[in-house]
Amino acid sequence: MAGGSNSVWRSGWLWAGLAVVGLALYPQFVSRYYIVLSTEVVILALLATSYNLIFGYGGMVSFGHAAFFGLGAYAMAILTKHYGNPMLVGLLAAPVIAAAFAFVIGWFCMRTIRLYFALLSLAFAQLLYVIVFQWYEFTGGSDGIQGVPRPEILASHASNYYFALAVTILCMLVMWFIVNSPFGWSLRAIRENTQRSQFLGINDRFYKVIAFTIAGAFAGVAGGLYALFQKWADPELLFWTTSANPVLMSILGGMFNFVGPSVGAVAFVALREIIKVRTDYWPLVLGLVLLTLVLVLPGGIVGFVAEKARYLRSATKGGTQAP
Amino acid sequence: MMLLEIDNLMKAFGGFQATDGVNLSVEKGSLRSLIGPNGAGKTTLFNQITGYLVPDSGRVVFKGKEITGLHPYQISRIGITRAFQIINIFPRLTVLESVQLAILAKRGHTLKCFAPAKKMVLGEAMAVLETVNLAERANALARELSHGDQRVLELALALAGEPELLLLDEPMAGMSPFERVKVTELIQRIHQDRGVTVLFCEHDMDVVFGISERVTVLHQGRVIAEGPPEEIKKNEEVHMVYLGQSEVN
Amino acid sequence: MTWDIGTVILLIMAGLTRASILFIVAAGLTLVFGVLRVINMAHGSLYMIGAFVAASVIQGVGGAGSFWLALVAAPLAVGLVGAVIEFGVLRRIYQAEHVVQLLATYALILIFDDLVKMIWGAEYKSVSAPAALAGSLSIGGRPFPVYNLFVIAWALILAAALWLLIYRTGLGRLIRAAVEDSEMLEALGVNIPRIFSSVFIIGAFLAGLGGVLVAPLGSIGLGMDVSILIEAFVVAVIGGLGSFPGALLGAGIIGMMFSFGITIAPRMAMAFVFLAMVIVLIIRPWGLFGEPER
Repeated sequence: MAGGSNSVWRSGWLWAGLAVVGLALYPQFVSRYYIVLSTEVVILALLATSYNLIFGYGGMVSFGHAAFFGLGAYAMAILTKHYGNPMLVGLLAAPVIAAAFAFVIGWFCMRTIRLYFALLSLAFAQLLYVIVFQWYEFTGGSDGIQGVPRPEILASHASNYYFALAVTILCMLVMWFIVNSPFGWSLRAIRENTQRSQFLGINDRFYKVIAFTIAGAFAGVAGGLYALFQKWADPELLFWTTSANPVLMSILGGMFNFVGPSVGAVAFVALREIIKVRTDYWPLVLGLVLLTLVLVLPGGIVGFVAEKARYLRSATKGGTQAP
Repeated sequence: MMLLEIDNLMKAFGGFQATDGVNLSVEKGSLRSLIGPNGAGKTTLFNQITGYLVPDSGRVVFKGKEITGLHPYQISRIGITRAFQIINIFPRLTVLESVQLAILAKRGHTLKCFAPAKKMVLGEAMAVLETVNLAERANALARELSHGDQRVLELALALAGEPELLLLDEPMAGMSPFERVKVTELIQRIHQDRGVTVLFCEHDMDVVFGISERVTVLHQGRVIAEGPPEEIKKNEEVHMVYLGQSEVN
Repeated sequence: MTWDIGTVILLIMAGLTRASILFIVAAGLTLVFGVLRVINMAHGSLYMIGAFVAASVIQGVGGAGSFWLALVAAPLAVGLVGAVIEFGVLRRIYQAEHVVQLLATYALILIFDDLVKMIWGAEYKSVSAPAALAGSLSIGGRPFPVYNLFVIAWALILAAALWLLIYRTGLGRLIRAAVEDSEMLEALGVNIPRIFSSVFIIGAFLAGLGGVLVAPLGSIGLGMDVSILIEAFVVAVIGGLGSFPGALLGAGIIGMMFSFGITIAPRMAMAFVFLAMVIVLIIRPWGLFGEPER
């Protein structure tokens, strides 16, 4: 359960500390291929966790999260390559620009019937994609912006990994505080029962816009890191198929759990690496996995394990009511 | 002093006049009930008082201020909360979290993004749970509670909103006789100890005539009678309405 | 380009053609939403399948009658695909939260996208209008393709047929009741699953029909699924999802936005379409024919 009373969370900080140590030591023992892959996983974990703020916690299905990821990437690419700003400026501007767009789009999406949200998010994201794709002078059109400069200290693969890891952990920490704050609880309440949350005095539409904006900002950070990591930004980053990735990662890992999407990111990249050498039809596999998960395993991997663990614990204690 | 005044409230759905010019005044500190056969317009009236429906015409005035057309979240903040007829809780929040959140929302703390919610208003939340005898189940998920306990949680959520006016929509629905006694006591306790004005609608006439100070009878969207329980018991029109109804049932 | 009256009339006719396709597709989307309360994310995929099936029939069979065969075969084939979706996926999740329905139909976009690529390849296809509709008429002194008039006529016929279906048949009466209150319908003892299946299949059929009719108008390729989904949804948002008059009006507005937008600023056509939607969202967020929600 997201931030629930699960006893796993009592030792949560210990596990988190161990995980960070593990992630920090890990590049010492693996080949360059895995370091590069891990860098991508770390960035995608940040993207997926940002998405899960609105998806798992807020109960809003957005099919346009890639827009903010892409905007972050372009913010980084354009500011550093075209305007010669230092990397940190790009990394700070990425969330600001993504959040500004998220706020405006979120405001429009929340005005209308709540069920429209999923399709509206897709529609606005595709609009941004088309704009980026066609505005050749500013965005480089379908070529994107190549050769995003990386500062000297991030020249090696390992240093790039550590940088992405540090930024991601920092962002995760902030998001962890948010989901455990009264605001985070309000989002869960809105997800669980929108009508009841209104009667408690929560203006659900406004809270959702704020959540959407925050999620957009962190997706922007992930995008900025991604542009730095692959040294270019291209329109594909905003395309609707990219939006499918954080959805699948959240579901794969478990949307009702803070670390679920990160676990999902690992599983997602592993799956992709296995599938892509065998077939070109990766989206088909993605769709089938998503459909299967939605139909049979809605809690995801982490949710499934947590539910089993909960069941086992209550079975050993005896008599406790099963969920 | 009148806490709530409803003036000629009208609401129609398609061709069906659900509330047809309702007038009602609720005195501060009173314990009132609203009765009437199914379809009399009780829930529709509650929905309009709490802002879930916008009346076609008429006014709702709370503490001298017009609140007609405000949103539910605004109305709950100014002091009207509500428990629902159907179970309307947060299934995957714990009992304690739900109540804490209700208090935080009432006090306007829910936009705080970095404070640890777990540690906030803990004492107050536990006090509410003590009042309704749900403290033992504080860490259970709401969906794990028994039906009766879910109804009580429903009431706790309304109470946690620190209301001046508490609206209860059939609080006894689906409860066992034993649970009914407990909830009846609870409503009286809330009214007396906390000084909350209570307006409830209910089909259990023992409860209605047992605890209400005044009873209002609604039929086909209109108020057909109002007065102390004894008077209403003797009212012929009320008898007609209920006899007619009992034949249908 | 000069803005004489002939140009304007031509642009209006072109806009009406686009509007016709949009109406047919949006009507299916709006029908399914109105009754099932499911936003079928895969609606555009059904449209794309319709277009590809039509291309295969026209190119495979060849000859004068092939288009007419496609006009019958493709919507039926897509209706069949719709039936498979309804039985295989949606039926299991009507009771689930909306999230589940959205995700499941979204997964279908990804699946169908690749399946179409597998079956038909990634190349664009084009078919020509049938010989009987190949020429053009002179409208305002300019040539206008007869086929486009045929599409407009189809949309009008379909609008009338839908009106008859909904207001003059037993199924239509049930559909209207379901849009109002499906719980009440259940209480009356109506076989809800059968109504839901019928409605979903009709919706798929309409998407397929849109796909066939659009085939001779432009190139058929991957990606037309999501773009039509968004356009049809914009139409539905403007008109109010669940409302047929709304879909008709919304399609008209968006059709005109397209044809005039492309002429005024070719790269900005999509932005014009969104501008229309954003204006509606500001002044009447629930759509021109919709009902507000609290």
